[in-house]
Amino acid sequence: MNDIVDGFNYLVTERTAIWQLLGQHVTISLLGLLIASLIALPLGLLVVRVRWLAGIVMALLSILYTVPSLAMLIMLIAVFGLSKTTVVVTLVIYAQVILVRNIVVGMQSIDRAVLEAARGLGMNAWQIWWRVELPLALPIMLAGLRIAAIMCIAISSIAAMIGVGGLGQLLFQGITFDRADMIWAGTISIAALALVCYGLLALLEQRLTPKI
Amino acid sequence: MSTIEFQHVRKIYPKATTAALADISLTINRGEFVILLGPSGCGKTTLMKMINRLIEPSSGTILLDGVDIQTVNATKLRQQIGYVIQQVGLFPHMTVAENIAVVPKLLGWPKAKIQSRIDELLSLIQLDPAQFRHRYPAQISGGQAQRVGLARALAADPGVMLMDEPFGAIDAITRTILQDEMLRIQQQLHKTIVFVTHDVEEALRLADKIAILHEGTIVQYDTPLNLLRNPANQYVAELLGADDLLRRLSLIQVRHVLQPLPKSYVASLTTIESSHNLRDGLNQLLASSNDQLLVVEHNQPIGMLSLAAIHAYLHPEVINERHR
Repeated sequence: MNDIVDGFNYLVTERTAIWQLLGQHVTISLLGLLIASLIALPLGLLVVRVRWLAGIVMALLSILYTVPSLAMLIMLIAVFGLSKTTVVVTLVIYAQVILVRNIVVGMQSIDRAVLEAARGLGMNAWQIWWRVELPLALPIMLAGLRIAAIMCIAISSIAAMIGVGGLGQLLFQGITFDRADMIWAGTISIAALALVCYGLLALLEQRLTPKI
Repeated sequence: MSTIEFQHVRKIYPKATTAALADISLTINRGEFVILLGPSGCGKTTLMKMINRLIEPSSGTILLDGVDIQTVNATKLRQQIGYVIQQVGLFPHMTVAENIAVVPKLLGWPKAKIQSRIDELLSLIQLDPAQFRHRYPAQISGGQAQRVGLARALAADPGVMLMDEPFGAIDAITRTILQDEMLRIQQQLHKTIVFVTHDVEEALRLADKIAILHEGTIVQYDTPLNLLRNPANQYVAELLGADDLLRRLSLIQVRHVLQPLPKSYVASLTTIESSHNLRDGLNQLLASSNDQLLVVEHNQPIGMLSLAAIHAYLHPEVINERHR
């Protein structure tokens, strides 16, 4: 119990350093999530429209997803070195499965009659996407984003191991120097970040979900 | 109101061995309520969906008011054609009002005009605007949803309405009510309507003309009455149940078989409205102790109806022989 209190104490006394680590953590996670989303959206929409691609793409992404994140990081170090790029690419790969799958499920959840009506009434492809498909698929897509965001925060913690900073650094240094207060400070701050992020995205999801 | 003309239209789906539609030529006149009738797989829906280019013909031409629809941008074309489908397909994330406003919005109508049009249409389909405007599709019944679907299709006042088994998924009682509504609305608006169904009763009830399809061809295209009187072949006769004379009688109004009012008649005769059908007339004749009914219109006697007249109507050839 004392260790936890020590952990909070560490967070307060070292707040300047903590803010810096938090900034690094958020930056890497956000960057990974953003790039992942920018790739997932067109990829997901392509997969929805080109049926035969769906199986191939989902299988490939699922295989990548089964690779342990630590192993992925180490493999990617060989390509990108001990850099932020390595971490961001790892995040992009892992988030892909979740984001693409939810985009596909979201789009497929739309009643076909609704889409036929949209076409029959004279909406063009863009109008159907913007006014019908996007609002109806959005809740499921956002649920994917929420899970992917939590995953990015988690993987970013491990990434501290290769020296790119982030709150995970508290954990690794704590282990190295046998400092329970640092480990607790890292655990508490990462959990808090994940919870806040989850809450904010859940709120956004609620806001953007059609009333009925 | 618009004229639709099919000229030698064929449709062969890829990988199919036989044509879904084989050399269809058909003219649908302005303001006519035309029903495409046939069993599933006969090509009726394919034929209808070619009018708004949801399906493109393999060959042949379709003219809308004399203009080849291939020369018109498909979305522009669809915005000018009302479209109602069996599953309704209301947008679940939009209110009733927003659903109705879809096409006017696409056409860029001013807001005030759209709002007044929504109220006008809700009144037309007999849903109270104050009560229904802001409801979501999940908050209304199936019958109400299809009324809204109809209003949405009518929103921009299109000349042509395409209706794909619109009442097929609705319970029998509500269906009858909606069919009556449809007739009332058509009397008011005089749209050119192309309506697909496999329900013979519905077709006979609603149509000005019925095109009967069988395996990708139009077997016969005529008014319900003529189809029943002169079915082109056994298929048509069986499909329509043309042997059922009571069904034929139910399609003819009493006013068409009037006998002149005699100088004097029994005052206690049972009366019947001229707009009722002959089946009702026959029923009342059989129930009455007299062999004649007094036909009235706006409470004024205008003629007589007798068993002999109904019989003669069903057998015109007998009258002709006598006259000879």
